Parts: sequence; C-alpha cells; structure tokens
Amino acid sequence: MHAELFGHMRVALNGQAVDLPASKKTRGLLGYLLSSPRPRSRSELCDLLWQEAEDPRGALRWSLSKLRTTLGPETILANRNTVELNAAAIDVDVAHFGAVYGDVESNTTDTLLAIEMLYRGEFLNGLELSDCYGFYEWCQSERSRYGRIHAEILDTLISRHSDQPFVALEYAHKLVGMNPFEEPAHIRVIELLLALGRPEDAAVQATQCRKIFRLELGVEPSQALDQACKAVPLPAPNLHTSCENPQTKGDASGSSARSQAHFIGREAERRLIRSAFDGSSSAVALIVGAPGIGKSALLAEIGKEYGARRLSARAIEVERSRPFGVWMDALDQSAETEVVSDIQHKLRDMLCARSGSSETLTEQQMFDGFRNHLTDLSQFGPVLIALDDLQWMEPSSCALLSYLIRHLSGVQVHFCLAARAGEVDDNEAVQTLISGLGSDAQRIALTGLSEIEASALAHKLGPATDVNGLVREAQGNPFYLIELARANNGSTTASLQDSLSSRIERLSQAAVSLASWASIFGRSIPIDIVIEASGMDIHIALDVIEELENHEVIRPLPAGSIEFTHDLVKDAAYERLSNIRRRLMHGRVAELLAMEMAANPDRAARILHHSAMSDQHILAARAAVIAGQYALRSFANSEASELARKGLFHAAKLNVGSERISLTMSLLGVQVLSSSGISNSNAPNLVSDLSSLISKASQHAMAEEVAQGEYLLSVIFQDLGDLEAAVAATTRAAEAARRMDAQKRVRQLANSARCLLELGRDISKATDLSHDADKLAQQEGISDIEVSWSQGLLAYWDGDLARAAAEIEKALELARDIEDRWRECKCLTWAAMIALEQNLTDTAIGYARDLGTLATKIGEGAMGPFSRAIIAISRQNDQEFRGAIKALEAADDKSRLAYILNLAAERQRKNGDPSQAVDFARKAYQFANEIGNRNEKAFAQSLVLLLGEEVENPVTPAELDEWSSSSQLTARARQIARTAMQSRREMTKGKGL
Amino acid sequence: MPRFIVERSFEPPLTKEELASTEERMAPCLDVYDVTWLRSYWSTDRKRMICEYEARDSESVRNVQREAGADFERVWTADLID
Repeated sequence: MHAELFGHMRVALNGQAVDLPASKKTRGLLGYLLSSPRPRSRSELCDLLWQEAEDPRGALRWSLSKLRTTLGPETILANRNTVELNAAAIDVDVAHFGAVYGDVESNTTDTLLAIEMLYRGEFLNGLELSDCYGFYEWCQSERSRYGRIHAEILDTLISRHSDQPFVALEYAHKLVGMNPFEEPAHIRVIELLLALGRPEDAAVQATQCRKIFRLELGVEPSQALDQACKAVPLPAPNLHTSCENPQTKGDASGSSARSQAHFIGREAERRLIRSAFDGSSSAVALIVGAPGIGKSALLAEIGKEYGARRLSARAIEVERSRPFGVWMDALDQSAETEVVSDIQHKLRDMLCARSGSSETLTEQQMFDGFRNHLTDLSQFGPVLIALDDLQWMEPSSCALLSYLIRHLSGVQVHFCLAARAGEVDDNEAVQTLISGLGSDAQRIALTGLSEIEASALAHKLGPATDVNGLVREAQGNPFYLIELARANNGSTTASLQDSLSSRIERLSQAAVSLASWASIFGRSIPIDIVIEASGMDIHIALDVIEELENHEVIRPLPAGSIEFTHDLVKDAAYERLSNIRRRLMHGRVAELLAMEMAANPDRAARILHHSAMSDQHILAARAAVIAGQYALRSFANSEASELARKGLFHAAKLNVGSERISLTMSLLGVQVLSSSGISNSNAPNLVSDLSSLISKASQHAMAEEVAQGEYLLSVIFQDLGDLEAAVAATTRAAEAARRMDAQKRVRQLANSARCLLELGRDISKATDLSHDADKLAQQEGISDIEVSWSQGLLAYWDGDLARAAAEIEKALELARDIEDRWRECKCLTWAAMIALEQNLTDTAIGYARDLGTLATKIGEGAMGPFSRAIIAISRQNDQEFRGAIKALEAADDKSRLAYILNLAAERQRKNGDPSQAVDFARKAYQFANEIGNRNEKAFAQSLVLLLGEEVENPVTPAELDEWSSSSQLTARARQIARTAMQSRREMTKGKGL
Repeated sequence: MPRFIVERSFEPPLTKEELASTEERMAPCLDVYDVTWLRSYWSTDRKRMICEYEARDSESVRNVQREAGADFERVWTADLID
C-alpha cells in the first residue's frame, strides 16, 4: 500500500487508487494512523475526533469498519484498547520526510530532490477538521514540522544549485510560497532573478514583498531588501494593472457563454422528484451524491418551478454552530415578491426576535409559528424548501426541519434536500433526521451523467478539441467536465483539483488575492469586509470583483454579499494558501468582524471560527461566550453546548487571571444551561469544574463570578434532584457579595502585611495587619494565599522556622490551586530559603528545582538564578555557585544577592575559610546597602566583625546595637548582630577601653 | 537612582479602562517597593507600551509589575541620552 499525506490524501493499493471514505473524520483517522504507524489507544482516538459525540467509541468502531472495507481487513490491527495500521505493508510519503529530519545536509542532492518531489501541498490539505480541536492542533503542529523540514530541504537545494540559478529559482519560489513573510526568501528570489538577467521580474518580486509586508504585517521590509534591489534598474510595475490582463479577459468571454449553458439530463431524477411532490400534501425528496455530481444544479432546476414560493439555502461547513443559520440564509436569500414578502418577513422576524430580550417565545411557539406561516404561504401554491449540503447543517436547523416535515402533513410544502454521500456520517443530528425520514422520503442517489448527457453537455460548453476525451476523463461528473472544458487547453488529463487550481492561477494577481481573502470566509461572504481585509483600493477591488464574476469564481448574493460558485472552487482558492498565510488572514478577518461583535451576536460563531484558526485564544473565548449565549436564547442548545466546549478549550490557554476566570464561568454557564432539564451524564464533572472555579474566583474576590457559579451549581443540583444542595448553593450565591467584600478586606490587609515583611519595613505594623487579616479570615471561613504567606513570614521573622515552613507550604498550595504562578514562585523561594536555614538540604533542593522549572514559564527575572544558587549552596558546588551569582547579578536582584552571599559567608565561616567568608559578606553588605535592606546589612556587618574585619561604610556600632535588640531584624540577623556586639564589647573591655 | 525601562505588548490591544485599572493596582506597590514611575509611551494602535521608572534594582521593578498583575516582556536598566 502506498499513501500520500502531503496535499490531498491519496492511497493506492497495488498501484490502484483507492476511493477513500467520504467521511472527513474517517479520513482524518486514517491520516493520523498513517502519519506515524504505531498503536494508538482507542480513548486517544476518541478524544481526538469524537470528543463531542454521544457514543465516541461507537463512532470510532464505525470509522474503523469503513477503513477495513476500503483498505482490506488485514490493514487495521485492533484490539479492545488499541488500534494501529499494519505498518509492514505501507509506504507513506511523510515517513521519507521524517527520515531526513535534523540531518538534511548529509543526504545526497538526488535523495533530497526525490524527497522534495513528495511535497505536493500542505500535510493533509483540506482535512484540518477545525471543529475537532484535538485533531486540528495535531494537524497544525505536524504541518509546522513538515514545513520546517521542507524549508530546510529547499534551502539546501538552493545552495547546492548556486551554479545553476535557473534551477535554484524554482526552489526559491517554493520557499516564498511556503512563507511569504520570510524576507530572506524574497531576497533570494530577487538575487537569482538578477543573476539570470531578469531585472524586471526582480523588481516585481521586490514590489510584491513590500506589498505583502505592508498589507499583511503592517511593517516595512528591512534595509536588506533595499540592498538587494539596488541592482534592480527598473521601477516596479503597478501590480494591480495586471488585472487588466487581456488574456484573462478573453477567457472570461468564453466562460460567460458557458454560464448560460442549459441544464442537461437528469430526466429520470426529475420525474422521481415530481412524482414525489405530485400529491397535495407535504413530501420529501433527498438527493445524495458526491461533490460536483450536480446536486445543487438539480435543486436549482426543481426550484424554478416554484417561482418565489421557495426557501433555498445551503449549510456551511465552517458555520455549524450558527443557530438556525441555514434558515436565516434561506430567508435572506429568498426572492422578494409582493405576495410572499409579508410572510417571509414574519418568518425572518420570528427567527431574529428569539434572541431579543423582550421576546418570551418558547421553542414550541416559534416552530408552530413557522409552520403556520408556511401553511399561509402554501395558499398561493406549492412551497418548496430546498436545502443543500445537509451534511453541514446545524442541530437547531435540523430540529426545525424535522418538526416541519412531521407537522406539515396535508399542506403543500415540498422538501427537496441534498447532501454529500458519506459526509452525513460526520453529523449526528443530520444522521438522526435522515434515518427518521424512513420510507416517507424519495431517496435519489445521484450518479454521473450518462455518456450521451455528458457528451451533450461537453458540446454545449463550447468547441472543445476533444469531446470524447473530456467525457471519458470526467467520468460523468458534470462539475469536473465543466472545469476540464474551461481549461480549454486541449489537455484532458488534469485532475479536478489541478484544473481548479490552475483556473485560479490563470486569474490576474489582484483577483487571486481577493479570491484568497474571500476563501477565508464561509459561504455568504461580506464583500466590504473582504475588501477591507485585503487592503485593496475600492476602485481596483470593484474591477477585480467583476473579473471574478466573469470567470465564474464568485457570484453575487443579496445584501452586498458574494459566494463562490462552488465549494470546490472555494477549497481550491483556500488550499493554495500556505498555512502561515491562512493563519494571518483568519486573524485579520477575526479582528475586523470582532469590531461589532457585541452588537451582532449572530456573528460571534464566525468570529470564534476565525480566531480559533489564527490561535487568538482570548478573542475566541470571548466570541464563544457571546455565540453560546445567543444560541441559548435561540433554543439552539446543542450548538450552545458545542460553542461552550470550544470556548473552554481556548479559555484554558489564557494566562491565569480574572479574565480567564470570568470567561470560563460564563462558558460553564452556557454548558450548564444548555443541558438543564435533560439527563446529563456530565453533571459530576460540571460540579467539580464549577467548585474549583468558584474557589479561584473567590481568591480573586470576584463576587459576581462567585454568585454566578453558585447559581449554576444550584441549577445542576436541582436537575439532579438534590434539593438540599441546591438550596445551600442558592444561599451561598446570595451571600457572595458580602463574603467577597470580606475576602477583599482580608486580601488587602494580608497583602499589605506581606509586602512590608518581604521588604523588612515597619514590622510592627505588618504584624498587626497580618493578625487582623488572619482573624477576619478565620471568622469568615476564608482561605487566602496572602494570609498564610504573611503569617509564614511573621513566623520566619520570629525565628519559628517550623511554623514558617508550614504556613508557606499552605500558601504554596493555595497559589497552585488558583494557578497564580508568580505567587507560587515567591512561596517556593521562601520555602527553599527556610529549608536551607533548617539544614534540610534535600527539601531545599526540591523546592529550588520546582522554582527553577516554574521560573522559566513566568518570564525574565531573578528567580531562575536564585534557584541555581540555592541548589549550588546546598551541594557545596563552588563553581556552580559563582555562576549562579553572576546570573543573579545580571538579573539585578540585590536583596536576593545579599541574602545568598550572607548565607554562603556563614557557611564558609563554619567551614573554616574566614577569608572567603569575609569576601562574600562584604559583597553582601554592598548589595544590601544599595537596596536599603537593613536585615542583610546587619547580618553581613556582624559576620565580618566576628571575623575581625570591617565592611566599607559600616553602620555605627550604636545603630547596630539598637537594631539587634529591636524587632526590625529577623531572629537570624538579630542573633548574629547580638553575638557580634557582645564580641565587640568583650574585645573593647579586654583592651581596657 | 538607576532608571529602568519596562516593555509591554498587548494582544488584543489594551483598553483605557484596563490601563486605568492596572494603574490603580500599581500605585500602592510603587510606594512599598520604592519605585518611582516617570513616564510611559503607548502606541497609537494600543498594542505596545514602554514605561520608565526609577528604582534601586530591576527586580524591584519586576516585583511591582507582578504584584499589580501588569503584563510585561522585559525590564532593562537605561541611561538617558540628552
């Protein structure tokens, strides 16, 4: 078996291409198993692809059975726990890439050329499965990895072909295509073009680079580009003028003629549908077939017979969380006529009004209203509901469709539905709807056109050079046939994807750019936002839109929107974009759409999609909240739950803090309310998640969030029938504001105390504040990091190291609980210091190690070097200690430098190395003096005194004496200062002074 | 006293309300850590900011930022060129 995962996935068995299952998830599963053939646990695969499914294991079993049927039973090795592919029999293209990873240079040029040829496009192109977040993340990381390897291979090939610039140019162009934001790649192309004596092309490349940087990154390229361009003699031509390309214009006239081609064939199917709709009551026809086979054309042809009494729309792959999306589009796109417009307006108002706060329509009332209005409309004649691409329809739209089919008997409303064969299996709601239709629906499996029909279509499409060749190659697929005819170059051997791709490439550069931006959207594309996102001048954009229309790439929709003429055309425009570019473009679109998100909650699901595709987690989480709440108001509970699940994924990626807590609480709220009143097996998890979040919100004194969390708990307990727990949660919700006021007060008091203790200032005030905070916390039953932390520092100050360690450990646990990384670091620092002073070396090393790991995550600072110093001093590793001190000096933390040097000095004194001890202590004194740390100053000066030496600029003996008897020093500093003063007195006495 | 520059960036852009709230949290910390805020520059797209402080060491400046929950990328000591 041979498998290709670069570009669109292809599998061949014994040299014969295999028709892979239509289900994208099943193909995704195959891609995952092929990418690294080793055993995968069933739970891992379920989490990856069927996290939201009711029966994930059942869905996996179903997909595996499809793969066994397609690839042969011996290809899949599965047991109760794991699944893997029979690797011995498989050759996969990505494995060759993986083999050169990290060692590209040592491969021969021939090997690299052969491997480079394997890269036919992005890894698993078209199979991102953006709704399956686990799979999406894996796919993106694999794309990045293979992208890096590919770039390295191209780099190497360019270098090795430096004496053949023409060959090297091909690879340099590929590098730019992979990452158009890499300036050196552009420069390489420019240099190679100049080497080939093509200065005009080099100038175009430079202009292109500047344009990309300005429009898409908002920055200017560096001076290196200018340097490279110095050899370019001609000014760069205006790129936009290329949309006036006479060649493309000539082509447009041909395609315009094609667009007027009449509908051909499908007589038998039309007869079947007409006979199903022949009766006086409602009827359903379901057309199933492969992409491009002509389902939409057949639906449109049937629709013509109904005039304005039809509602038609298509579901959109990337908008499966938009409540009633397909119905909204059907109403927006329906023809406005005097007779029916009133009823259509009422239907539209009904769908829109559910989200208004003043409306109290129940789902039942809304569905009934919809039915009544359709019944009224049918008084003027039969009504057609024509819904396409059912495989992507949202659960709420499914519910309404299912209701109407069941409740419009006796009414002349006809349902003509179309879906892609196989892909329906990825949509549980649609699967249920279709299986529920039973034998009442007229099912039509649409296959290819007959040879006669295909020939007729080929003739109609124009004077193609080889009608028989076209018909043979297209295998009855009319869309494929049209594309092959459109290519009009005598070649009839291109694949459908290749001919679509070359159709896009034949457009002017500006048109390709605008089509690329449009492909970022779903179906109904707001042209104003596309133009704004592209940064194109409006006048140029209008010409470009005309060009795209002439070439039948897009067509206009009502209300300033456009759509691609076919999803496969959109996919071709999208899939030619590099992964990096897609991400940036999705990000730009997300930002533009988000500007009016609050005022247009129906857009939020779209914003979630675009922000998810560009890793903008905060925007994605915010959009998920708005979209989820909008879905709840629309009775679209399945969508709401799915939106919340996605939002929680993004919220978990945010930095810990009040915004994350607030967003997570809102998303859990959507999840709880979307499943309220129905049996929810997830209830125990929700209770646990909410309880933990309430605790975090409480630590942040977020009264509103605490109250919201308690209210949500009460809803869950009520659903579970635990009334006692529900009442208790309700009571806590009511008391949240007062408790949070107390929490805030406790935090304020303890925080002030802790800061003063950390800095060794105003210790008596710090003591009072800490005691007050502790008392209030105990009264209110509140746990707070700052209380335990300040109590720990107070005990440390008093020399009670055991109690200090216990309190700091408590604070550490609380910091970990609410994921407050900075406070966790601080507590680890104190815990390590205290353990060191207790001579608990291993414990100190343990804390310091944790500190070192965590410090790298919280950004720059002195905690990393300090952890190294603690470990070094514990292990008595002098060399490592000196390295750590240098790093600590670079991080510029004078207090910690003074502390650790004092500690080292004390140990050297005990080890009998007074000279080293004095050296360390003097340095400690210097740092303590600069930072104004009285504690470490006193310690250093006292230690030096005990060794019979002096520090520079010492405090007076009287001052040191006074400090040693006051609470302004820690017990540790007090003790050494007292000893030093005592020693000094004895020496003075001995000298008779 | 040495001068320090704090570099920050915001994605999504920082709002005026968020800035005001951070300032409010930071004010008492500055005093406690003996750090003086001198001035700040905020990019017009609200995505970047640099702030200038006087303090005894870098870690004091970092501690103030972290106490107040103010995000930053790096802190560095600076000389003023007149």
